[in-house]
Amino acid sequence: MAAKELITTVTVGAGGAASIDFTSIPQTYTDLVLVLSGRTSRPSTAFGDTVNIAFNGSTASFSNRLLEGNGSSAYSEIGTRAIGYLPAGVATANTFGSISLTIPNYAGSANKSYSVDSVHENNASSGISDIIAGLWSSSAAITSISLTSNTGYNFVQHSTASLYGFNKGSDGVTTVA
Amino acid sequence: MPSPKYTALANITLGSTTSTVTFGSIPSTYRDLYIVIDALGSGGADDVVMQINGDTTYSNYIRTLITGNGTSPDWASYSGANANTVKLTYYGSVISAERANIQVHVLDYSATNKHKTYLARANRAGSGVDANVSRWVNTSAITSVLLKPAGSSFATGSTFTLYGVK
Amino acid sequence: MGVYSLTKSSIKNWVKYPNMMAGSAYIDPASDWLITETILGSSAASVTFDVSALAAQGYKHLQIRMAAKTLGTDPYAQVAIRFNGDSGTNYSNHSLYGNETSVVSSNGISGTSLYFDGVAGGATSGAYGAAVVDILDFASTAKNKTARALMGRINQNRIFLNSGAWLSTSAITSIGITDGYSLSFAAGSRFSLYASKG
Repeated sequence: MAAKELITTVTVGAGGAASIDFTSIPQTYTDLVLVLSGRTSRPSTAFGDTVNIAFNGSTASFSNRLLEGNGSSAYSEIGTRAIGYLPAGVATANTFGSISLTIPNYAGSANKSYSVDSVHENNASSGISDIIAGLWSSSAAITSISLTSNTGYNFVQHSTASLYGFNKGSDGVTTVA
Repeated sequence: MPSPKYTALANITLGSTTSTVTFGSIPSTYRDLYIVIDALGSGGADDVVMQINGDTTYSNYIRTLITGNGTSPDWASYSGANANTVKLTYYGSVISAERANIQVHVLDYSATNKHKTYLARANRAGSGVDANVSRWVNTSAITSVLLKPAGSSFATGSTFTLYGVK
Repeated sequence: MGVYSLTKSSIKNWVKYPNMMAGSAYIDPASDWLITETILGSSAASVTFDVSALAAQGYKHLQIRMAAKTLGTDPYAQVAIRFNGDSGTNYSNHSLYGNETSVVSSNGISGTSLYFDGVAGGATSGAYGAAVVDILDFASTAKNKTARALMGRINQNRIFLNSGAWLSTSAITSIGITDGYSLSFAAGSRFSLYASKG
């Protein structure tokens, strides 16, 4: 058993995908880390698209607070399921955003507090950067994760998401009390 | 020859309300430390303090952060004899009513030719989100890390996990 | 005598071998690996990582960790990161950070490097910056390459969420890191390259 292991990677194929899904997540790890390299097919009227998360098929009981910059100004907002903003539409072609999501104790019986760092990227002044504090107010263990576009568009081909599991442990030397 | 990046060093899940959690006897054989905290406080909103090698002198720490509370962004910086220098959180504090999580990256923790600079991301959805950088103004290798709420305790079920990073 | 079902999830600390042949090497399930690191014994103008072999070895994402400072008298510095030696105007940059007064968001268009602020300058002995830089899908030939970095320094105290894109669909084969103000990195600066399976 390693301290961090790859669970699986999802790669979006030709034609795109309405969602990126991780199902039957093993319950044997301590924490989950999900990294997403993505872009959506939202058309040219926009330069990006919010990504939403769902756990166990549920879109209820999510809350978040974020600090965001758009390349010119910074602001803070309250939301629910957003985990970041990906390039789309008029954003520089072939450019994908980068999101890292950490969920401690995903398999436990407490509410699930999670952390997100998200960047969008675009060879233009507009580029969205986020740090996000999220909460799923559910005691259920997370067994599946679904990512979708907030506007209902697809993740484009070549979007990828990798899910990792951290295993807590002890080296027999370090103490904790 | 590549080496596995992470090694799990120690972890604890609190079985009762606890005022401090200390990782000790940290070996010097890694490059960085990675700490993951998932916690409730024992009362009202309270910042999480991190002290290194038992050093409780505020002026030995310097800290700056950016934060958002859902309404406005903010920035802060602390130095000198200010109790905020040893904290990891601002709006991402712990509280009894809601779970918060914090990740801390301590780079070059065992180097004896550097002060210790560490990055922290603190998150509590009902309060806000922080990104923090701090420097412990000391070239000693880090052998212990103490974590505690500034004025209260961690609640039962809070978890603390320490990894070494090669 | 009972019949029991033995599943992988019920086994602790299991190890995997590719086959039953004698001498078959154990497969370490770790996803993330330290590939190489440079710790400067004396000042140096640049650090370069050759990553050309990593994709074939099954790695999908890269991470660079830096505890670095530059020479000079300023408290601040930034790294300039280039991929495959590309010095053309093929990089975009964005940053969310505190500037000692407020939270700021900035941008850079058509630059000649990824310019990531957050490294320490040489003003204070012992003060090095801290940086964790992630590059996902570094070898994809269908995507431009996006980097995301959490960086900070205490000296002109600033914390940054930096990002940038290399506007090329070429696989990254090398990563060059220099100081954005053309100074040298100080002795003791450390640059570590990690790679993740994916």
